[in-house]
Amino acid sequence: MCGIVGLFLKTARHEHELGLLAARMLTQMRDRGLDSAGFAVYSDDDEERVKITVLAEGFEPDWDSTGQGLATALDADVSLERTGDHATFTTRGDGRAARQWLIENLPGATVLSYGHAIELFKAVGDPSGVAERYGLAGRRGTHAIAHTRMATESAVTTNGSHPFSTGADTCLVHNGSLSNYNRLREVLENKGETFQTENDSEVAAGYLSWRLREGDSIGEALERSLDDLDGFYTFAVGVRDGFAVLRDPIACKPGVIAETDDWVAMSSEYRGIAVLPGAADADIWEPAPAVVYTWSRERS
Amino acid sequence: MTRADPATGTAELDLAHTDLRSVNRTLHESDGGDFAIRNPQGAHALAAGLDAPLAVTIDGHVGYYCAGMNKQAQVTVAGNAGPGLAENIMSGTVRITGNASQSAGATGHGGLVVIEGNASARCGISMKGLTIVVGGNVGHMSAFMAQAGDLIVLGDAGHDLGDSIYEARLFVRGTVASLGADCVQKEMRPEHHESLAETLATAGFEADPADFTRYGSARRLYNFKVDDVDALSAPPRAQVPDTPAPNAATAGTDRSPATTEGGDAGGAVGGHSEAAGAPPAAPPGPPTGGPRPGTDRPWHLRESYTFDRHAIAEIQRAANTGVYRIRGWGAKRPLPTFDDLVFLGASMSRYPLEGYREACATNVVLGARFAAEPIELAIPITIAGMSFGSLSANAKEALGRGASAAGTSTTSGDGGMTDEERTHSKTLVYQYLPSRYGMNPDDLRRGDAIEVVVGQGAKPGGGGMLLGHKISARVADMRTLPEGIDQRSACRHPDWTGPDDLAIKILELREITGWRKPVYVKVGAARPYYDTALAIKAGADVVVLDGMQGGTAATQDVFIEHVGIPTLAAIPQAVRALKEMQVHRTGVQLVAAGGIRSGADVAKAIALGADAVSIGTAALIAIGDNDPDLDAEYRSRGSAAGFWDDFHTGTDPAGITTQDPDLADRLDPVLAGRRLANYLQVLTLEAQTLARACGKSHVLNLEPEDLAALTVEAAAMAGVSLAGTDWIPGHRRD
Repeated sequence: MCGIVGLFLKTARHEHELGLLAARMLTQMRDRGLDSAGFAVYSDDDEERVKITVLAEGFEPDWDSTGQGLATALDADVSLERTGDHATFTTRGDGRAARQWLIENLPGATVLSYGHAIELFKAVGDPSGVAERYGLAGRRGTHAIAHTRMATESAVTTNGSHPFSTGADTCLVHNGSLSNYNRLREVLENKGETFQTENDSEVAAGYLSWRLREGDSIGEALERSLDDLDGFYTFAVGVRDGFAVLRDPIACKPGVIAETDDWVAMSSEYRGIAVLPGAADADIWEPAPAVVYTWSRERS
Repeated sequence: MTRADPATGTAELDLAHTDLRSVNRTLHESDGGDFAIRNPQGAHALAAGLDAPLAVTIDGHVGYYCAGMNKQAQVTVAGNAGPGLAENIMSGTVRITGNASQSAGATGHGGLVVIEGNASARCGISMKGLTIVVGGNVGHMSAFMAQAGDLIVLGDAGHDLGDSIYEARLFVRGTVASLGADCVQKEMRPEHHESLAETLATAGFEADPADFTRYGSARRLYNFKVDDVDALSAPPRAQVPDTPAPNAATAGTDRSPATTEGGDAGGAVGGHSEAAGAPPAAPPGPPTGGPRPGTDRPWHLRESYTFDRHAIAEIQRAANTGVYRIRGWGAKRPLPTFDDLVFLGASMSRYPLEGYREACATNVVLGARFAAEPIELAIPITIAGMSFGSLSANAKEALGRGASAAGTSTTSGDGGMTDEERTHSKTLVYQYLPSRYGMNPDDLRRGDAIEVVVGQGAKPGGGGMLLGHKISARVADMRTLPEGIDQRSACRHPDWTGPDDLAIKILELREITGWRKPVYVKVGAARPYYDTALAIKAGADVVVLDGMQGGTAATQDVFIEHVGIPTLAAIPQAVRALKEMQVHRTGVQLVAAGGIRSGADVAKAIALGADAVSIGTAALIAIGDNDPDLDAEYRSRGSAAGFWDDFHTGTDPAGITTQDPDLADRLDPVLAGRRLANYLQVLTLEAQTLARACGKSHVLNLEPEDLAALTVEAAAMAGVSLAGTDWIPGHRRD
C-alpha cells in the first residue's frame, strides 16, 4: 500500500537532473505512506563491471574485510563506496555470485541490488528524508524508480520497503497486495531465487528475475505474470535499459502515465507528474488493466 | 487569499498560495458566484461537498474526488481528473475537458457529469440516477451494479459493461468489448431517441441518437431463487431439480445462487434456514452433540459428531435445492468466549470500591483525534449498525429511543438514514458503505459521526444482502432499487481500495463535513493487527472491530461460520497495533463488537483494551427478538423461540427483522425502547460492579492484568495468564 513513481528518460536532456526530478515526484507521494521509502537509480552503465548495493542497518560490518572476502570469492578486484548504512561494491566479477556470497557471508545485511547500472537505497521514514539522506536529488542517470510505503502485512522495517531487486539490473515497486505470494515464493526458491524478506512485492521482483534469466524480455515476463500473480497490483519496473508498467486485470490501484519527447513518467497520482518539466504539455493517460507498457532506450 | 477580478466578478482561489481547506471552506461558505481555482496540481477532494449554485472553474488537473457529492454547483475542470470524479453527485453539473480516472460518477444520485475525453474503469459504478456523458471511451466494468440513470458513451466501452446492472440505461455509440453478467442489448425506442438527443444537446455534443445502441438489465440476476422461503417442506423427490447448469452468461463467475435455476422447481426450499421437514414437535435439539438423557432416543443409538443432525440436514437441504443457505444472526458454533475469562477481584493487595457511594464512571469520548466535535457517550456501549430494510422502521426507532435514554449512540446501516432513527437517536453514527444506498451529503452532515465500513464480523470480505421479501416500496425507494428484487451489495468500495486510497477518502469526508465529525473505520476481525494499524495510518479517529460472532441480517451460512476470528482473539491484536502506534487510550479509540451479551462481556472487552463495545444481536433480543411468548409463531415458521435466525425472510413475528407492515406494527417502539434502555442499564451496572470490585473508579481503568483465563485457548487468544499461573501461551515473557 503505497505511492510509486518511475521516471525514464528517453533523451539525454534531463540526465543531469534525474535524481532531482525523481525526488520531487517521490515527495509528492508522501501522503500515500510514511513508513519507509526507497529508490533505485540507473546510471553509469558499464558492461565491464557490476555494482552491488548492500544495506547494513543498525550494525557496522567490517566492510573492508567483507570486500576482501568478496574479492577472493569472485576472484576479481572489489572496490567499496559508503553512503550511510549503505555500501556499494564495484567489481568486474560476477554480480549474481556476489549477491549470493554477500547474503551468505554478511548475516544481518541485505543485498539490495546488483547490476551494471542500478544502485538502490531504502530506509524507514518519510520519503523526503530518505531521498535526502541518500542524496537522490544529486544523482544523475537514465531512469529512476521510487516508492513510499504504508506497510500492510509485513513490518515497518527497511527490509519491507521498496524497490525490490533480486536479479541483475531489475527492480520493481508495487502498489497493492498479492494474494498468492507465499506459495509462489516456494516455487521460485525451487527455481533458484533467493529471498531476503517476507514481503509480497519481493516475490513479484523474484518472479521477474526468474523469467528474465529464462530468456523472457521484460514485456514477456510481465505478460506471463498476469497468469501467475494473484491479487491487486500496479507495478513500475526498471530494467537495465528499459522501464515497464503493469496493472492487474481488476485495476483498482491507481496509476498515471505521462510522456513527452524527453521522458516517460509513471506515478500513483497525477500530483507526482505535475512537478516534472513539460508536464503541462505531456500526453497523460491511465494505464489500462492487464496491459503491459514498456519503454527502452539504446544503451549509449 | 480570495482575489476577485473586478472585470468579471470571478473570485480567484490559488492553491499555490492557499491550502485545500481554505479553498473548500470559501466555496462552502458561498451561496453563489463565480470562482476560478488556479494551480490544482492534482489536489484531492477539491470543490467537494458544494451545495449552492456556484460556478467553479478549475484550471488544471485534479486528484481524487473532485466535486464529490456535488449539489447544485457547476464545476468545470480544464484538465484531467483522478479517481472518483463527482462521486455520489446529487445535482448540478460537473464537466471535465480531459480524461477521468476510474470510478467517475460513482454512486451518483442525480445531476450531470460530462467527460469530454475518456473515462477509465468503473465509470458510473453503482450509479443511482445521475447522467454521465463521455465524449470518448469508457474502461472495463463501467456501470457495474448501475441502479438508475443514464451512461452515454460516444466512443467505445471496455470489457464487462453493465455487469450486475439494475435499472440504469446505457447508450454506446462505438463498440462494446464485452457485456457483463445480466447486461443485454435493448431496443432503441422513440423515447430513448428523444431523451438521448436532449441529453447530448445539454452536454454539448453533436451526435445522432440513431448511431447509439442501448444496453440494460436482462433482470435475470434479480432473484437468488430463494423466492419460496415460505414453503417449509422439502420438495417431493420427483420434483428435485436437476443439477443447476452454469449460466452461459456468467460462466466462470461466482454467482451460483443467482444463476442456478434450482429454486424454481417444485417449491424448493431455497435459502431456508433449518432442515427440511415438519416443524419440530419438541424444541429442536442442540445444534451439535449426541442423544442426551431425557430425549426420546434410545441410549444405544449413537449420533455422529462429524455427521451430526445439522450436517445431515444441511446436506439434504443442499441436495434438494441446489442453493446455498442464507440466514441471519452470527456464528452459532461453539467459540472461545469471554466466559473463559474471570476477574481477579480486589482483596488485600488491591482495595475495592463501595457499591454506590464511591463512583465508578462509565463515560467515554470517541473521535477526539482529528474531529472538532467528538462523540461523548455516558456509557461505553453503543448500538451497532443495522440497516433500515433489514430492520423495520419501528425497530430502528426503538433502538434510537433506548440508546438515547441510556446516553449512547446508534448507528445507521446499509440502507441510508431514516428520519425516524435520526429523530429518536440523540447521537447517530452514519455508516458509509460500499453500496452507498441512500448515501447523501445532507445525511452525512446530519450524522454525529461517520463510520466507513470496510467489513463486518459476520462476513469479512463479503458484501451485504437483502432479499426481495424485505425490499418494500420504501426500502426500494431509499436504495434506488426495484421493489421486491434480491439485493446484493458490493464487497469493495466503488471508489477506493486499500488504506492509501482510504486516506484520501477520509480526507474527502472530512472536507465535506468541515473536519467536525469523527470518522470511524469498521473492520471485520480477520487480521486485526494490520487492519487497525492501517486504519490509524489512513486517518481514522475510531476503529470498530467486529468479531466473528457479530450478527447479520442475511449472509451465506458458510461465511458466517467459517470466516473471521472470535472477538476474544481479535481485541488484543488490535490493541497491540494501537499501542505500537502510541494511540491506545490517548488518540484512537477501539470499539469492539461481536457476541457481547452481558456487563461481564463489556467489562472484559474493556479490560482487554477496548474503549467501548457495540451490540447488535443483544439489542434485538432486548427489544423482543426470539421472545418465548412468540414460540408458537416461530414454530409455524419452522423454527422455535431461541433458534430464530431467518431474518432474511422478513417474516419475523416480533416485528423486528421485517418490512411487513402488519408484523412491523406488532413492535411498540416506545415499549421496546424502554426494554433496550433497561438492558443497557443492566449492562452498565454489571460492568461497574466488576470494575469496582477491581478497585476502579472508571471502567476504562480495567486492565488485562485484572483478568485470569480458565482455558489455555482463552489465555493464548486474550493474552491473559492462565488462572493460577503466570503463563500466557504463545506470548514471550519480558
